[in-house]
Amino acid sequence: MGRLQTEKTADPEPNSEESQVIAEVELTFADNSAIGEGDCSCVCINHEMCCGCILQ
Amino acid sequence: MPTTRDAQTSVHHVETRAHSYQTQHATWKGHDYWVLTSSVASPSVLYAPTLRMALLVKQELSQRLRNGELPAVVERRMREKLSSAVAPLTPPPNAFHLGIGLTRNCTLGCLYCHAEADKKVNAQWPVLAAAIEHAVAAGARTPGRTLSVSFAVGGEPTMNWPLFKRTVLVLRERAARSESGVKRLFLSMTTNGYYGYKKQRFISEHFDHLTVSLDGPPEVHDLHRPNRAGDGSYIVVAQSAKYFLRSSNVRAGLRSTVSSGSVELMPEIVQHFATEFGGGYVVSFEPLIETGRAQRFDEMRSPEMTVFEEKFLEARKIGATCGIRVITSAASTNRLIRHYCGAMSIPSFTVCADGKLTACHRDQDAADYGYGYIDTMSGRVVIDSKRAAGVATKSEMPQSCGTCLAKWHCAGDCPDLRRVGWSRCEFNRSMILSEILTMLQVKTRGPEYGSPTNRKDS
Repeated sequence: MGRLQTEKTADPEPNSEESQVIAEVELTFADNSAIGEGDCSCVCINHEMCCGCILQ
Repeated sequence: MPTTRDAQTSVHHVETRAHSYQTQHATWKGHDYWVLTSSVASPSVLYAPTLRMALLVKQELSQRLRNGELPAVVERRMREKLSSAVAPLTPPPNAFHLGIGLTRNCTLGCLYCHAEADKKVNAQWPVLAAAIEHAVAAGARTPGRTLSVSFAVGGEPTMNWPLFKRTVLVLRERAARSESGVKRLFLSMTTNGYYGYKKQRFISEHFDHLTVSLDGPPEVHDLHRPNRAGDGSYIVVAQSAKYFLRSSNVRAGLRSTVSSGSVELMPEIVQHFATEFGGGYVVSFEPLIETGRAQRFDEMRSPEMTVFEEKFLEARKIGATCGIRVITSAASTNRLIRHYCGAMSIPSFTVCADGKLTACHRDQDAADYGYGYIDTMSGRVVIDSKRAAGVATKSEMPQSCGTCLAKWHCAGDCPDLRRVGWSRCEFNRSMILSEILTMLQVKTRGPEYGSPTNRKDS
C-alpha cells in the first residue's frame, strides 16, 4: 500500500530557503503487481479488492 | 541558483468539500509534479508522486514555484529522490487471467443491472473446455506460472449450478496435474450470494477470493436487488456473506452499489455490516451508473459525487474503528498505475457465454472490446490481432489526463466509464488532494489528524 514515511525537518536557519519547507513526506508504493501478492487476488482493480466491475 | 523545470505549467482548480485549490503542473527530468495552492490557507503543497515526495511549503517558496522557478531547496530534494523514483505499474505481468462468462441469466432482478441479466443463455462446454486448456497453457508460460480465473460478464456465475461446478472442478483438477506447468491457480468471482449452505460450502472450499454484492441493510438491499419474483433477497444474501466472511478457506469482501437513495446512508451501511458480520474484511462502495436496467427505474439514479465523497470519507472513518477497510475503485494514492484495470491486459481475455473473446469483464457480448473467439470445432482460440491492437489502445491513459493531479492514481479511470460517457474525474482529483493533505497534516500535527475526514486547513 502506498503510504507515508515521514522525514526530517531539522531546525533550519531562520529565513533560509530551507526554512520555507514546513514538512516533507516520502511516499511508498508496494510492488504488489503479482496476483495474490497484494491486497487483491483479482486483476480487476490494481491491488484493491475486485470492484465486481465498476458498472454494476 | 534556481534552475528551471522541463516544461511550461498548466493550471487547474480542484474543489473539495473543505478546500478550493489551484493545481499547477510541471515536469522535472520527466517526472510530473504539481504545486497545490489553497485559496484560503498560506502553506502550499508540492506533490511529485513518481519521485515519491510531498512537501508542505511556505508562501514565499510557493510563489517562486508558481513563477516557474525550481528553487535549489526543492531541486536538491528531487535530485536525491531520483535514485528511488518509481515508475507507475503496468497490469500484472506474472499471470494469465481468464475471465469466464458462464451465463447471461441471474437469480436476482437488480434494478440497476448493467447487463440486464435475465436471458437463458449459457456457455457451451466445448467453449469452456477450450478456454481452460488455452488458459492453463498460457498460465504455465507466465513468469509466475500463475493462472487467475474469475467468473464475470453479465450473469450470476452460480445460476447454472451444474455448469458452474463442473467448470470449477475441471479448472482445479487440470491445474493440479503435475504436467500442467501451473504453479498457482487463483479463483475469484463476484457473486450475488443468493443460495444456500451447500453451495456456500462448495464455493468456500474451491475459491480464493469472493466479492459478495450486498448493498446495505434490508431497506437498501431489497430495494436495489430484489429476486426475480420481486421479493427481497437480503436475508439469504446476508447469510452467505456471513458464511464467507467467517470462512477460513476463502478471502471475502463486500461490494455495495450506491444509488442517489442510499448515498447518505453509506456510514450507516458500514455500521450495519460491522454489527452483522464483525470486522476484518474490505467493503467496496461503487457509485451506480445509469446504464442497462437502471435507465428504466426512476429510483435508480447515480449518486451526487460530492455527497458520495463526503459520505465515503465518513464511512471509511467508521470502518477504521471497527476493522473494516472501506475502499472505492476511484483514484487512490495507495496505487501508482499506468493502466486502470488489469482485466484489460491482452493476451489475457474473458470468454463470453457465446464463445467470443473480450478484454473487459462486463462486455457480455464482446461488442465493445471483442477481439476473437473460440472455434469449438477445433478447440482453437482465434485472435483478431488488428482488433486486439485497437482494444489495447482503449485502455491507454487518455491524452487529456496529461496534467491532471490524479493521472498516476487512476490512469484515466475505467475505460468503460469513458465509453458510456460517465466521469468521476473531479471526484478522483478531490480524493487525491484530500489524501495528500491528510498525509502532510499527519506530519505537521500528529497522527490524530490522520483520519480521512479530518481535513481542516493547514
